[in-house]
Amino acid sequence: MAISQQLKEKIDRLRPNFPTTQALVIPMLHEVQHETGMVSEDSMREIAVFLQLPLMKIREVATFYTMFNKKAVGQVHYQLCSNIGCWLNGSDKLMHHMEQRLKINAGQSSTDGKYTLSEVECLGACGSAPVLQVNEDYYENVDLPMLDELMQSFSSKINAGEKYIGRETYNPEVWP
Amino acid sequence: MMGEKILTKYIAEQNCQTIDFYLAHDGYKALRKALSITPDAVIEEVKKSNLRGRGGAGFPTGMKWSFMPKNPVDADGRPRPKYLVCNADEGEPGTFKDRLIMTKNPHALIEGMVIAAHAVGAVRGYIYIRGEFFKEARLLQRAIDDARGQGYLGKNILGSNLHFDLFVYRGAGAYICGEESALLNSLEGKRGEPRLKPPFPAQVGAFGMPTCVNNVETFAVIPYIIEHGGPKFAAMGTEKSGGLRLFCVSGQVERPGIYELSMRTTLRELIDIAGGVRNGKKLKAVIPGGASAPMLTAEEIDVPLCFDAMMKAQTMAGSGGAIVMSEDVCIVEATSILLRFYEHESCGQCSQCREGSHWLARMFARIEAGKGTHDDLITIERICANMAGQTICAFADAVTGPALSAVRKFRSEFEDHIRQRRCPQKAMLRAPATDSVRGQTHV
Amino acid sequence: MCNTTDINREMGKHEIALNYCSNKHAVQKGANPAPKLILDGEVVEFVAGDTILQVAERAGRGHLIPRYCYHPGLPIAGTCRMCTVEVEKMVKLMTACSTPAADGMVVHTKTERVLKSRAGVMEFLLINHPLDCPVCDKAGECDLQDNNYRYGPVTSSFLEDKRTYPKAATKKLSEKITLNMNRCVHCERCVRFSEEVVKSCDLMMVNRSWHKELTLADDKLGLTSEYQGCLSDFCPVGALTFNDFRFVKRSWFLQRHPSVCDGCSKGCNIEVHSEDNIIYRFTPAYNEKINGHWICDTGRLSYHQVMDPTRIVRPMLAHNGALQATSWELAQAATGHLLETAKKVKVVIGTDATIEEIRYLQAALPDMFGSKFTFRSFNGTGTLSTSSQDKKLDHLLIMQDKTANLRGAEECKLAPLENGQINDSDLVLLVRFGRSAVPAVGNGQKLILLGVWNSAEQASLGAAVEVMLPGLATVEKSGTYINCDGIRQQFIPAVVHLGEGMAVNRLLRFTKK
Repeated sequence: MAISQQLKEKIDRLRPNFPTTQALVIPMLHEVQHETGMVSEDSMREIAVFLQLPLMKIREVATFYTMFNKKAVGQVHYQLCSNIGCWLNGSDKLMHHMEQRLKINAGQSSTDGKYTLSEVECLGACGSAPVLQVNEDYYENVDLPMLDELMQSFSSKINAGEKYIGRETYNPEVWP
Repeated sequence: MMGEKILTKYIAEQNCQTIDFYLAHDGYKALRKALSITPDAVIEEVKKSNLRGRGGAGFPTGMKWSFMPKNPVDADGRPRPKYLVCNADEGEPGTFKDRLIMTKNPHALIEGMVIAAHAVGAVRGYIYIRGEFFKEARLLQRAIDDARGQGYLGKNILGSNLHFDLFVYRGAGAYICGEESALLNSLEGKRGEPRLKPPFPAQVGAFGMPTCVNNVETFAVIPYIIEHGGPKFAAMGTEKSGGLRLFCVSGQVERPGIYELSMRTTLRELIDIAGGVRNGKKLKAVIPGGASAPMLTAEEIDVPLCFDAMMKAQTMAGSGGAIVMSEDVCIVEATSILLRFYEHESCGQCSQCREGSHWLARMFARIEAGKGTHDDLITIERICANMAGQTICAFADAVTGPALSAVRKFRSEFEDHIRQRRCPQKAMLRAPATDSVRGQTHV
Repeated sequence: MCNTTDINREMGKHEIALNYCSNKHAVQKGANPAPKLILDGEVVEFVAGDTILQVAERAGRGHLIPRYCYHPGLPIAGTCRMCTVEVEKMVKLMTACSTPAADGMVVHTKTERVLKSRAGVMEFLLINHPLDCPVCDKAGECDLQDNNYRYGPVTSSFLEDKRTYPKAATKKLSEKITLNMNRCVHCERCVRFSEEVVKSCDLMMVNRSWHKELTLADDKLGLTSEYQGCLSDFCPVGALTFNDFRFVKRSWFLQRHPSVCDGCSKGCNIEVHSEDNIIYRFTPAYNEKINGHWICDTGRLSYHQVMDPTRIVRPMLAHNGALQATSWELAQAATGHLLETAKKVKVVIGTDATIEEIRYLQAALPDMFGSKFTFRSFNGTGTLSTSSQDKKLDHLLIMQDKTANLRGAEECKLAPLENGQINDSDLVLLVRFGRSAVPAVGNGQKLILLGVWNSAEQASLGAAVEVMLPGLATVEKSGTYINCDGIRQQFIPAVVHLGEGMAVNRLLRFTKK
């Protein structure tokens, strides 16, 4: 079972908020990705069964929206904006640096499954460009020293086995 | 520099996002006032304010609200519920104002939505926030919970017979969902593909019901309009575009950020307020209203930032995000990056947009890589002519905005790329070139 | 360009109300009962609620408006943008498929602007199309080809690499359908068909923008519907092709004749595609009251039964306990002798015979040989014997009764065969045309077979068969069927029978000297 009972109950609680069950597809895909880090083929099947919808309705939505990872991503998913605002502020240099440091290209995951590096389109924070999204959190006004510091801290967080990497706001301790 | 502020008055203060702070600064006062007058009077006040939609199209808000049917019934005579949807799918490159409102002043948005619900008779509201805004969605959810706890949402709001509740709905990474009908499809759990119009959302919107969709900023200024009256708001702006607006400045300026200014402000003033071009460089180009707006050259920036003046200057005020490019920037590469974005974000429904955005992106990348031909420039004009105004939504027009303006206004740069078979800027400034256009090899 | 003012005056209209979205009722309530619009300078009446494209279709001028995503049997998508027309007083070009017609509207389908837009769409659709027409099965009946011939640009200035889908260049979606994604123009007719019409939800688009790709909803299941052939019918390009027809025949060699499918009691209208009287496929023919635009795959493939190599197409006579091919003269003489000498003859007619055939047998046999005949009908398919037992097997077309004319047999007052058994006569005349089941024949009775039989069916009856008289299948003859809903359908031959089979009235004519 790819989807926990707890998650299903959470979705059940959302049902009164929407007039149709189909409206729960995106929230449910979000929750599944939050729980398992990706939206697998199996979990799509389970969602279809749970929401009593044809599988196509789940798959077409999951593949339309870029936030849903159809493939597994690393524990730390670096998503660097490459759009104009960030590019004007040197995001291409940051990307180059990250590629060198992680020894992978944009769009790839490291072989140990710890890191994934992605180039993404506008994150809606151009005023503080360049912007780097790490899992769920934004890091703004990133420059090379800050990037090095960030990457260092994430690597030590992974080694320390921390629970809420890149999920500062989700962490119940930080964000009650 | 400017006098009164509406949305950004308190953003520098601590805990400005909390309901206690909001209440201590006259929060939810406008709601009481709105509930004491009729819905029609509220709409009338909004009409008087000359408020025009802050999402990009600049449609008069009061008129949009008045399109909502009064007592809609279905075929069997049962009343159809009306919905209110807030478009917080902020994804236009160069625009980042809604995020500020949602993190620093969420209760203005909530109050504005409750007032709008009263005005149009909506029973339920959804805030469609872009999926990447995890933190913002949680903040907003907490603000909604606080408001509900204090009786500003839910049943019988402030003792009136208004029942209205708000829900946060997170998108999942699709720029096109900023288009209102695509947003409604997405809200219904479908692919975010824009719908054919007619029927318009006011007739058949979310879940098939009459729906009013407005931008975050539009809702957030409503309490001010109700509290201080439409005319006062109208007087802050130009004749046809009332009020102040949050202008976003990004790119190569000294102080990028959000500035709440009158719509009378010119683009040159805005850039000056943001500290001018960084490092004293010369200005080369500005994209004035979010990435979809045609570019302006350094000579064309003495134009007020209101919708009509911008239209006259053959660009658009759009979402109010100015992207500033200095003399160091290669326009071909910048446009190529924008087109890559559009290629990635087209929903793929309409033939012209699906194929055209892809074609343009490839062609610009090729020219940037020094492999263009002079015929390409003619082809670009033709592709753009075949795309603009031919599709279901305005996305195709948005693609052609930067592409056409770049080719027309900076033609010599394109010709240099073609003639020299390389990017002259890159050769001059950053040798050796980094491979920033993926999939292409540089000469 | 026409002078619109004059035409407006002619129509007695002082004001032109271009009230698109609001309501259809306003048009109906108006003083003039039938609203009118002007299509390329000609006044055309229309039914309130129609879109411009439907108006043009009804006026017989649908060919003026090319389209890909629009199909009359599917929900409107309005995405291919090929059907744009110019409507006076509208700033943009409007899609004819989705714009509701309004009274007094002035529509132009051939202006320079419209033609430019169509050429634009064609150019966009062709940049990534492989242009492999010489090896494409759709060539000759391809909308992309036809529309490009009429409206498209002659050359392309696309210098980039074409988008290809290496994994879906020749992908079998099921036993019946093959996908070539490179040819797809993303009209999504197939997706809407599977979702809205057959409701199998087995096709879908994944990804977005130019990566958009047609795939199976579930790779493990493949296509599941019973109407897969329709996908290749309405696919405007060669992306979805029907395996049974794939690489079999170039479409321009085919002659097309209308007929009725005899695969079940629905009586779907079909077009028989043949060359030199050899049938290559059945396709649906539109009939609003019966099958709409569709037919099921079983019906579509049923031409194989007509073209069955084991079908008996020569008269045969029993000789030393085995049937042997003979001449019509000998077979007819033997039949006459058997009918003359028999005391009690049971004529069992399959409910796949036409009304004319049944009536002929009912009248001619007693007339020639006296009143020793009892007539019975036999269906034997779907465990039913009367039309009241017939029912729908799905929400679309397929019926439980697998014969075409049960209602017709009932109209001819033909009683069903008791218990499906024949045992109370000394001679049995079994008439069937390939659809009704073969009844059980009791011992000690002689048999004459008439109609469409294949060798296996004949063999199942054992040695009792004395004479075999080959007849004609539905597409080879004329006649009348009454379908499950009581709709009477007449048809004429679509092909000429290639064997020695004859119509019932001819083959019995000379049996009595």
